[in-house]
Amino acid sequence: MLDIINAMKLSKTVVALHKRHSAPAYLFDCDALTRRVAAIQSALPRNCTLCYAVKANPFLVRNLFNSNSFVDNASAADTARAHPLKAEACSRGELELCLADGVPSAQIVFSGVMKTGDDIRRAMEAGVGTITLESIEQARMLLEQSAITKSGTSVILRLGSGSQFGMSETDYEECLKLLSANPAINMMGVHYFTGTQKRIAKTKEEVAMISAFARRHNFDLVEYGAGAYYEYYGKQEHGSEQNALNAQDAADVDEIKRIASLIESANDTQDIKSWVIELGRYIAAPVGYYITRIMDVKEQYVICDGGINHVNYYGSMVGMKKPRVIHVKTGNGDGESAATSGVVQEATGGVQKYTVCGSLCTFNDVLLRSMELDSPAVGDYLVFCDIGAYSVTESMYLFLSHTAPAVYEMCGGKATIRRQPMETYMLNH
Amino acid sequence: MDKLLDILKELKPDVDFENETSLIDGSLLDSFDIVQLVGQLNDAFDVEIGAADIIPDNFNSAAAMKAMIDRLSE
Repeated sequence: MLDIINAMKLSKTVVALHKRHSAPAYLFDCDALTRRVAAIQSALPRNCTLCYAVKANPFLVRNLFNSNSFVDNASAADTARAHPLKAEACSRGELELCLADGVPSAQIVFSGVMKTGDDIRRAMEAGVGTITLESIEQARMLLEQSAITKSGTSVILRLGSGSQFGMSETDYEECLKLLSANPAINMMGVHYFTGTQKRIAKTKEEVAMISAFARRHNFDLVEYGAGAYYEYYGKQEHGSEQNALNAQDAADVDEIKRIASLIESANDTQDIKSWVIELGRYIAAPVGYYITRIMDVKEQYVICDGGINHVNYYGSMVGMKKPRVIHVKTGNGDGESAATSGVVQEATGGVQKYTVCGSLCTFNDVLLRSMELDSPAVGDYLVFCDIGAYSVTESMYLFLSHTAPAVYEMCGGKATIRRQPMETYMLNH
Repeated sequence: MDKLLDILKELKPDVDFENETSLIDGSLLDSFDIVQLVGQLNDAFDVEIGAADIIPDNFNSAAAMKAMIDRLSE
């Protein structure tokens, strides 16, 4: 099944987007996002609700919670009604973003290892559906705010796993005692998340452990961050348009099916009433593209107008691992014919290994250590695929005061701008 | 080779460096490991591993790393 953005359209589109501002750009495919979320929700067992981890890509929130997104997809609309999607906000900023972008407050989970009393009060007054507590101190702050606002809320307590997140079993018991004194606080269940890109064997252990924990405490709910594994560096043809076609289809959610069967098993053995499954990277990764222009080619070096100030792939190993990248040739040196010619794929026999670098004055700015490209030229474009998760917010925009990239979204084949390119030097002085 | 294996084992005790040939391709080392390792190898063997040397072929196995170090020592 081909994605709505087929290779030819993508190439023409991305070149036009870069040309608008002569700056690198991110593009998020909202149609693919809708299909992916619907596929994940369909694959999960009946007693599961999907929760989107906003930190993976906050730009996707508006579309995920806009019911108009489902206008062309009736089965996705049905799933949305049966299992209203949640959003996990892990900071005051993310909370404000969710509220501003129209997430119904009952569908917000307010988490975060660092919360102020003010943040908690804001969440309570906004009527968020769930507040996560990570420590005795956070429980204490909640009780204080509950007294001040004369209101309550529903909470989940995060169990620790040997890091700065969550609490020990001893602290957990103390929290439960503290909170039980306030009838306005509804103890819903346990929260658990240990990390991203998880191998299924580890997931199996975790699901078994956390469901047994929930059963011991008679919790109706387990809220679990699955950290489902997304394959960034699989089989691909370097530089080829074929990558857009081979790139993981949005509705391909095999890893979720594997996780679903583990959850079904826990449902049977531990009689768990309901789950909230948190996913971020797994939802967002395949729906994002990053476009950068080749500005210089010398010996084996290709210099782009983007770089590691904009691009961050998990596990890339300082650029040794190669994600799916499409080389869009423009037919001449200055890119003038880009919009009309789109892609010119000529077999010139000039395939060699290049080191693809960004614009930063640091030896570290290497996007791809050793990449086969066919006669890259000034004015060509490189489109990085599978970059929908984290990269757009995780990269060091401010370093060396380069222009921050534009952000576009594509809905129904039409691209609209979400964020103009920005001069970062204005933040740096 | 012993000196190299000592450094590798201290970095990642659970990996079988004597036999592994897919340290990068198999994601057995991560980005932090590479950055640390380059620094340690430069110090221990008095070489300068440059950007051009940081490719999977040079880091996929202990033998490959040894060959790179020998080349840089010439």
